[in-house]
Amino acid sequence: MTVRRWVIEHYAGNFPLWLAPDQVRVLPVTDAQMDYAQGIVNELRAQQVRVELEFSNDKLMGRIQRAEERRVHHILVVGQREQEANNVALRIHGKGQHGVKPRTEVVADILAAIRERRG
Amino acid sequence: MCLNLPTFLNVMEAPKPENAERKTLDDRQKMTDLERLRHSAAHVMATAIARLWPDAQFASGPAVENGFYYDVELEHRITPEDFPAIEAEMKKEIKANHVFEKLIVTREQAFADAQKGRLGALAERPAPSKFKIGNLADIPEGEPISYYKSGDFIDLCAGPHVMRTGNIGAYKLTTVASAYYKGDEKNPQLQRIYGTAFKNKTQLDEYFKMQEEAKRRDHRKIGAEMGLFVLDAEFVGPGMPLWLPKGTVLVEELEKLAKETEFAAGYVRVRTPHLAREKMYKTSGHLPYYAESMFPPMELDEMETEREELTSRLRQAELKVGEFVDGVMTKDSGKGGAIFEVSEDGSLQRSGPFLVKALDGLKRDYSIPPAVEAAADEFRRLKPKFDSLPPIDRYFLKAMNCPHHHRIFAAEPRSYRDLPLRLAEYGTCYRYEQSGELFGLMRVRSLNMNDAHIYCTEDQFASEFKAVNDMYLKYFKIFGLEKYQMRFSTHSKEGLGKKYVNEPELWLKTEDMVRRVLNESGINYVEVANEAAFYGPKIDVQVWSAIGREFTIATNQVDFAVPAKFGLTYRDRDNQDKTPLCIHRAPLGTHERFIGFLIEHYAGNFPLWLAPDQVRVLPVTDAQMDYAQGIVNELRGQQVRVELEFSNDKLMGRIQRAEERRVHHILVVGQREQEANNVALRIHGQGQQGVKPRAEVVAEILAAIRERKA
Ligand SMILES: [Zn+2]
Ligand SMILES: [Zn+2]
Repeated sequence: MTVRRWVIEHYAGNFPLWLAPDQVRVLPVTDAQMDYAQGIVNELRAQQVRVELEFSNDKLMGRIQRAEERRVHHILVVGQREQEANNVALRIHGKGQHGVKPRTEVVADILAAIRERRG
Repeated sequence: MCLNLPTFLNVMEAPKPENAERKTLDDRQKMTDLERLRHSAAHVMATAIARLWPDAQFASGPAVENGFYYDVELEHRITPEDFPAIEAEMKKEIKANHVFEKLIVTREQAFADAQKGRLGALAERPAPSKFKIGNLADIPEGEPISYYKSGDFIDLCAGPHVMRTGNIGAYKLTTVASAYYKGDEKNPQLQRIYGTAFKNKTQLDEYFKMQEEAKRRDHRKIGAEMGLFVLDAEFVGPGMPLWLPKGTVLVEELEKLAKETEFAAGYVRVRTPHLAREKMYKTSGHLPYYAESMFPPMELDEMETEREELTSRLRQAELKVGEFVDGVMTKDSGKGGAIFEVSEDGSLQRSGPFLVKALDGLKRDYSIPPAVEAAADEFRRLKPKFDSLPPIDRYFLKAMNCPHHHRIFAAEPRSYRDLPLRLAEYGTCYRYEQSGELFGLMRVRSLNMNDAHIYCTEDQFASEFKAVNDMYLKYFKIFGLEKYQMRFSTHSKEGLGKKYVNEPELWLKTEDMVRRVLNESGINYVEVANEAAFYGPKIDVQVWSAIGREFTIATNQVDFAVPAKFGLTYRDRDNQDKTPLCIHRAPLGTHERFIGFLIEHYAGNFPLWLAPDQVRVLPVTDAQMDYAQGIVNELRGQQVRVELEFSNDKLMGRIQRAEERRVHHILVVGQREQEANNVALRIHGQGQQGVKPRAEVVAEILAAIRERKA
C-alpha cells in the first residue's frame, strides 16, 4: 500500500489541521463584515495558512454546509456582533460549533496546532 | 526548423553553439553596432591571414556572441603562436583606415570572380574561391549580390560593416577550433579562428578581466570544491546531475522560497508523474514536431503473454493452411511454389486471411484434410481475438509540465469562479540534448523547473501578467540582480496562419496588454517583432551576473491555442463554455541552470539563507564544549544548518578549514566568551566582527535567514 493511500484511508479524508488541504475558511455573514473577514484571512495567509474567504449571495447555512462538504477544517463565521467584539464564531469540521472566541485566541490556536502538528 | 513548434518548450535553453547558418538580409539589418564592428574585424583578420598565407580559402566570418570568427582552409595549422603575426598585419590594415566599399555585382560576375580566386582574397589566384562559390549558390534568386572591398581585400558579403577599418578600436584573437563548412560533417573540415573586438581598449580589457573572473567562478569548478553536484555519465547518464547533500540544500532553499512566494500570490501546488502516454503529446502537438528533443518512448505491452501466444498459434495455422493451398494451386505446374495476393500497390502479400479465403475457394473441387480444416478454423477463431488486443502502449518522459497541468485543469468542471487558477509544480522534465551540447549544469538532460500555468480569462490577463512580473522583480531583488532585461517577442501580420496561430485580434489585444503592463511596471524590456511562439507572444528574461555575464534564465509565454487543443473550458457567467488563456511562467527557471548561474553570481559565497553551511561553532578548548553545544542546539532547534567542530587541531587551522568550506558564520567561543555569554563572530570573506552577546548573534542569524538578507 502506498504512503499516500494509507494516509487518506487512515484519516478517512478528515485530516488533522496541519495536513488538511483546506485549513480555514472565513465566512462573513453580510458584506459589512468583508473587511474584518479579509483582515483575518490576510493575517493567517501571511503565516502560510491555507485559508480562503467565501462571500456570495448564498445563505450562510448553505456556505457552512459547502465548507463542511469540502472538509474545511476550521470555519470562522463573522457577523456584526463578532466584528464589534473582535471575535469569531468557530466551527470545526465534524465537531460542530465551538462557540464565540476572541480572534487572537483562535488565530494563535490555529498556528500552534499547525506548528505542533496536533492530531 | 519547424515553424509550429511551441517555444515554451524552450524554456531555459542555453543558446545553441554558433554555426555559420546563413542570416537573412532582414537579420543582417538587425545587427548591433558592436556586431558590425566585430564582423568588420573578421574581414580585417581574413585580410591579415591572406597576407601571410595567400592560398587561404575563406568560408564565412560572422559576428558571434562574444566576438567573431572566420572559417578558413589552409595547409598551415594556425596556432595561438601565429596570433601575434596575424594581429600585427591587422594593425597595418586598421592603420591604413581603408573604407569598406560596397560593390553590387551580377551573379555571373560573382561566379566569374570566384572562379579566378578573387573572392576572400587580395588578388586573383590560380585556385578558385571554392567556398565562396558554395556561398553564392545559397543566395536566393533575385537577392542582390554584393562585395565589400577594404584595401586589396575583396569579399563576398551582404554587410553591414563599420565605415572604415580604423573604426575597429581594439581587437584580439582568442582561440582556434575546427568546424565543417556550412556545419555539415560531409563537407571539408576548416580551421575556425576566433577573436573579439571592441570600440576601445578599456572595453577589451574589461572583457578579458571578466573572462578571467568567469573562469575563477566556473560553476563546475566551484561545484566540485563545495560538493554541490556530480555528473555521473557512466552509471546515471550524461547531462543528469546528481545533487549532493550540500547542493540539495540550495535546491530546497529555492523551492522553499518559491513555495512561500507562490503561496502568497495565490498559487496552488500540484504534483504529476514524469511519464505520459503518446496521446498526451500528440494532443499537445509535441509529437511529432518535438520528438527529436524527447527521450525515445518506452513500450509497455500489458497483454504481452496473450499477444505472443496468439501470434504463435496464428502463425502455425497460417503455415498449415498455406502449405496445403500452395500444394494444390501449383500442382499442375509441376514445379512447386507459393501463392501470393497482389495488393493495390502491386506488391505481393501472403496474409493469413488471404490463405484461408483461398482455401474456401478450393473446397468445391478438392477434399480438404481434417488437419488443414482445423487449422483454418483455429485461424478464424483466433484472428478477431488478436485484432481486439489493445495496441502496445507508448510512454514518454515529459519534456515539459504543461500537458499534465492541462489534464489537471480538465479533471474537474471549472467555472469562472475558479479562475484565475494558478497551478504550480517544481516539475522534473527530461529533454534529449545532443551529447556534444551538454555543459555542466547549464545544458542538461534532466531538469527541475520552477513551473506554473495560470489559467485565466482575457479580463484577468493583465493583472495576472503584472503579478508574474512583480514576482520576477521580487526575486531579482533577493538575489541582488541589478541588471536584467525582458525580451518581448511579438508576431508579424504576414506570419498569421503560418508561423503564428491565426487569431489576429487576440494577438493584437494580448500584445497590447503585455506592452501596457511592461510599461506601467517600469520594467526594462525590448520588443522584437516576428519572434513570438506559434501560440502567443513570449518574454525571455535575461539577467546579468555580478561579473556582467548574461544568462537567459526563463521564458514566459502567453498561450492562445493549446488549452483549446486539450478541450479546456470553464463555464462563464453567461452560462457559456469558454476556453481560458494560459500563461506559462518559470521565474526561477530550472534548478540546474539557476544554481549554475547563482554559483557564478556569488562565486560560491552564498548569502546566509542559502549557504549550505550556515554556522560553525568552534570551542577553543574542551572546557567550552557544553557552552558551544548549547549554541548549536539552540540554532538547530530553529532549523539552522549548524555544526560544532572540536578536534585537537589548533583553532587557526579549524578557522581556516571553515573558511575554505565557505561556512558563512563562524562562532568562536573561548573561556572569556563563555563567562560573559558572548561569542567571537567571524563572517566568511569578511573577517572578524568582534565579540558580541550570544543572544544578539543568534537573533541576527535567525533574522537574516528569515528575511533572506543578501
Ligand atoms: Zn562582411
Ligand atoms: Zn508550460
